[in-house]
Amino acid sequence: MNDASIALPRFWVGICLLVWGAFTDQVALGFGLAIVAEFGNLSPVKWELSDQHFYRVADLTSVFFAVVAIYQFNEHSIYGIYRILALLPVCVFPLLMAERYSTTGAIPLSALFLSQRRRVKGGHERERFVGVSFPFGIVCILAASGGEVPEMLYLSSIFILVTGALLAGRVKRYSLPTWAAAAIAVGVVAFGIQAGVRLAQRQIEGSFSYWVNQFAWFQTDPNRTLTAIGSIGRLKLSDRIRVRVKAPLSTPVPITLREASYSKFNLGMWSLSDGQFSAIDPVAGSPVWILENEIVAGGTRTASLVIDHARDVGVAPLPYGTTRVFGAEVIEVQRNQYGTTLVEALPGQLEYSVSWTNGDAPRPPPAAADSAIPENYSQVLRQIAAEIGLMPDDTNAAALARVEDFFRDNFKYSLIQQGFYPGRTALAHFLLQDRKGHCEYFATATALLLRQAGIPARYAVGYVVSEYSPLEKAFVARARHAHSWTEAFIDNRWITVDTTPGEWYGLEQAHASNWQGVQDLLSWIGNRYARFQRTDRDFVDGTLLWLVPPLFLLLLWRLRSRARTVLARQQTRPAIRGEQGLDSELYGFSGLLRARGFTLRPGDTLKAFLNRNVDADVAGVRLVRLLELHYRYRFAEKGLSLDERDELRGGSEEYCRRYAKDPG
Amino acid sequence: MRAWIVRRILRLFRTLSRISLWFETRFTAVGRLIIGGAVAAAVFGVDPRQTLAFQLAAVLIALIIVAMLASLRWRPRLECKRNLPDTVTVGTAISYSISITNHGNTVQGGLVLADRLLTRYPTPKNFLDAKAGLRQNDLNWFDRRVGFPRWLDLVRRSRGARLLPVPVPTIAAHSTVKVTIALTPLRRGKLIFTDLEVKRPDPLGIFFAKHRVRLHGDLVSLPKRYPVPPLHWISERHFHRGGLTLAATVGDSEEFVGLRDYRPGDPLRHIHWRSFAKRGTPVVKEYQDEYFDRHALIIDTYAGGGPPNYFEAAISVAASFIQTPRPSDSILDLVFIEQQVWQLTTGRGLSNNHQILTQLAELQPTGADEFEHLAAYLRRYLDRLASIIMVTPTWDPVRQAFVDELHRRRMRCLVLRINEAAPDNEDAAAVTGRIVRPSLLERDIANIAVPV
Repeated sequence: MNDASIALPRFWVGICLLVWGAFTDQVALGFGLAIVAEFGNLSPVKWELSDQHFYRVADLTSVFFAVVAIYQFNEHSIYGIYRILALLPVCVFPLLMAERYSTTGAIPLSALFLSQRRRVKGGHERERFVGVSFPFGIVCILAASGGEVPEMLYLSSIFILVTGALLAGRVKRYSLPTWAAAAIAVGVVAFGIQAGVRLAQRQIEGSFSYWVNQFAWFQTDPNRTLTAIGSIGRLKLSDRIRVRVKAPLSTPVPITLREASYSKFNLGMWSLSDGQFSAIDPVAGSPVWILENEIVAGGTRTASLVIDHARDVGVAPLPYGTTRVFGAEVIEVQRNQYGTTLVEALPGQLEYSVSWTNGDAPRPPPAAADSAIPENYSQVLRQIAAEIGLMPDDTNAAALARVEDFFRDNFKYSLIQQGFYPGRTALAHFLLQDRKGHCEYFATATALLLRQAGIPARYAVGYVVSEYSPLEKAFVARARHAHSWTEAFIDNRWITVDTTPGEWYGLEQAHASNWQGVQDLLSWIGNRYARFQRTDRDFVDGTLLWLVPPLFLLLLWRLRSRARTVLARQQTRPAIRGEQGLDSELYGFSGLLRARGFTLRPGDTLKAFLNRNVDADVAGVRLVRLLELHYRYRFAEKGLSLDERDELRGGSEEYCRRYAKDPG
Repeated sequence: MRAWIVRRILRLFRTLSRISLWFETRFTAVGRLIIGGAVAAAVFGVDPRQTLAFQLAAVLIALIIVAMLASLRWRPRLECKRNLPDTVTVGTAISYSISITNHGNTVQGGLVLADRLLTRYPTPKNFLDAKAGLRQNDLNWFDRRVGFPRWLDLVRRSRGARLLPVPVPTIAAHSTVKVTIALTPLRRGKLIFTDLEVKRPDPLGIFFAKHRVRLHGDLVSLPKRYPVPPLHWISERHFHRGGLTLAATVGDSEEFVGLRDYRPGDPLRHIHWRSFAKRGTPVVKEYQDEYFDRHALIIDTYAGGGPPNYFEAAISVAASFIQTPRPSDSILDLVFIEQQVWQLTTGRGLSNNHQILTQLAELQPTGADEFEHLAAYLRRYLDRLASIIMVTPTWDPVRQAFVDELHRRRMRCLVLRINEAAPDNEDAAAVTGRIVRPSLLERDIANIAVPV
């Protein structure tokens, strides 16, 4: 009767459930399910289930899975897939029950596949039964992979579980030593493969980061940026819209949106060695952050910016001279001495408003790094300085004019680099021979030449916005509008210097894809949906609630005959939260750590900070659990139950006690 | 353009079919689950920073690699012999045996035996023609449109039966074991066995090493037959000039046609004494049958682009009539067109029902309507027939006119029209012939009670 029954060791499924529970922090649930599952095997009492019963159990599983999937995707976006993975054993548990508590001891294949069901009902194929214990065990092991567990522990556990399952069905043709030798070989090969995957992942990440940074959707790193200097071939930039600027049509264009500035250059990479971000306090009672108190002369303009905010904390593109940032969704704003601004918000689409004045706000004077010339480039820079006649006694303005003239008169814009000039020679080739390149060449070369002339200079990246999209009803900055330029410190203030020939914008426009219109339309739809999700959150929840009755009716319909169900429902009362969970005790613990000398690095999230500095487990309290509770308390719509709130409070106090006594 | 697309799709299906067959035949049930698990783990483990599922994928892939490596070389000295029955009937389960002899010095245990039938992949025409066939209502829109289930059905039918692998008992060195394989034919016609596969699992029980034994064999699958109620065959003897030369002892043998040399076994009372006296060697009088019952069973082989099950139903109906008992002194002619008009006669020692059924098993529908030729042939010997049974999956004015002509000539005829749509009771009287529904074949055949 059973076409694919697989002999398994006793209690194998139970052990898989226990491992899943232990690895995913659901020990009690895993233990409970394991008991129920194994009791089904031992129990002499079995139910005689018909095909219809099996169909209903399978349908129940499908509905259950659909509800979990919809909920998790709605709550956690694409990352919901990992939540679903962690809950898979619970979702498919009814099938295991049907197998273990039925007299057939297996599941009809037609219960699992609708097409098979039709064929069997139509009399075109006979019924086939399959065992689900082994697949269920594999599902448990797979689900356990999402837990916070050391790699070697997971690897050795799954090796033992999988080979243990095969041992019971060992082919008697072979002796036990032969089988053991094969199993050991499997262990060695598996270890090699997974180590290889790790290595390959690192390699691929390393080499792809460049391409991802250049061509894919990304967030600017405030501490470093890799340029395409030295790359050959055509620089292909996408038409993807990265920033939408909702400003009156009368706003003068182009609007330059600066993301970050860097001071140190070597081997194609600009970076910061001393970037220190500090949080800016919001105006009391409102989501407004004042970046500059001193209003510089000139009119004030305002606009709303919409960006894709990939992580909790990311760089915000801002016009020069931004004085204020408004954003209901913004949680925190930080800024470094270079004027680079970080915002903390929930990942997803982020909209914030800015007001700015004409002319940049004052920024701190240059540091030593802003005048440093890398040793590798000093010779070529001296050669160029001599060529254009930069004199040591030139005024800063005169030197700047010479540099600007040099680039304007001798250089062309090009997206194509044909020769391969490894390492530092690419920039020298640009300056001495080729004399054509894209904005990164110009900005880098200008910054270094200005430094050669004694003017502190920095490299800045951002967008130049001048395209208005009637569809979006906003100015848009596409990936190909990403730009870099130079900031120079002249007459005690930082000014922007852009030596890239002005035709760059038109040239890149000429290389726009024929599919840009379609892409824009899709982007617009995506943007509208994201806005709908963001702004009409209550409505979305309401919509989801409306999904419940039809799903419930569907369930009732499937279970309409003799099947009886017991619905156990645990009511949770949400804890009363402070404003946006700001009263979470984990913040207090974080403050304690900082007071005791632990450094908060730029861009550090609470999770990264704590993971780096404190033990994963203190007196039985797991940091992972505390962080989960904290983030749910902080951001989840429904917050925490009273018990969970107590757990967060108690756990944080436990950590505070531990680190108040001994910071080491 | 459409033909090009169909060709490409069929090529894709063929590739998928072969890959699927390879997985099905080379991996054990556990092996196939491990592959599924490895794929799922690889999907979830694509980002090693999110989950450790890549480690599960690594373990499962390692299992597959080691299992395949352990199955690389296996050369057993086995000899196989298949013992097939003469014929089988569609839908009726039978079993046959295979003897396996181990000529080697090693004991062979844990083996699995799989018998293989010849597979002919559907041509674009077969594939498109089958669209109107069975099961279309059971499929969803996508499957109906793309047709992969239809393809699988056609492949399955082309093989003719599904043969499940069976475990082989341990074969000691230099000994023989017998394995029984169950078979249920899915279609009529010849089932062609191509080879046998003896498979050995690896130590982990995941992958099979395969030893192929070339062993050809044929098995004729007869059409499905249903019980026909006792028919009152009308006895109406007709004169048959130069009729059945071998029917020497049954019927009225009074027409003297000539003399011939004596053959051992000739009855002494047939010796022509005068000629014997003249020639000195025995000469016998030869007689010829001339009066006996002759019935014709006509199968219309033109399916007219209708559903394939209509033609299959017609074959089943005809087969059911062939095996129905008839008066022992009557004969039955099976008449049909397949490139030419065929008349196969059974009864009175000429042939037997089994041979006719074997012919019927191979009968295929014709692409063109040649009923006029068939009708012309029948008109030429209508005078010698007592009755006609005509089974047709198609109905049109030509056939209607022929049946009307039979009625005018007072020929007793039973027309059985294969059609799923049976007329209402009020209309039934106005319809020529009887409707037999393919879906209710057994019931409709059982209800035939017309004297023939």
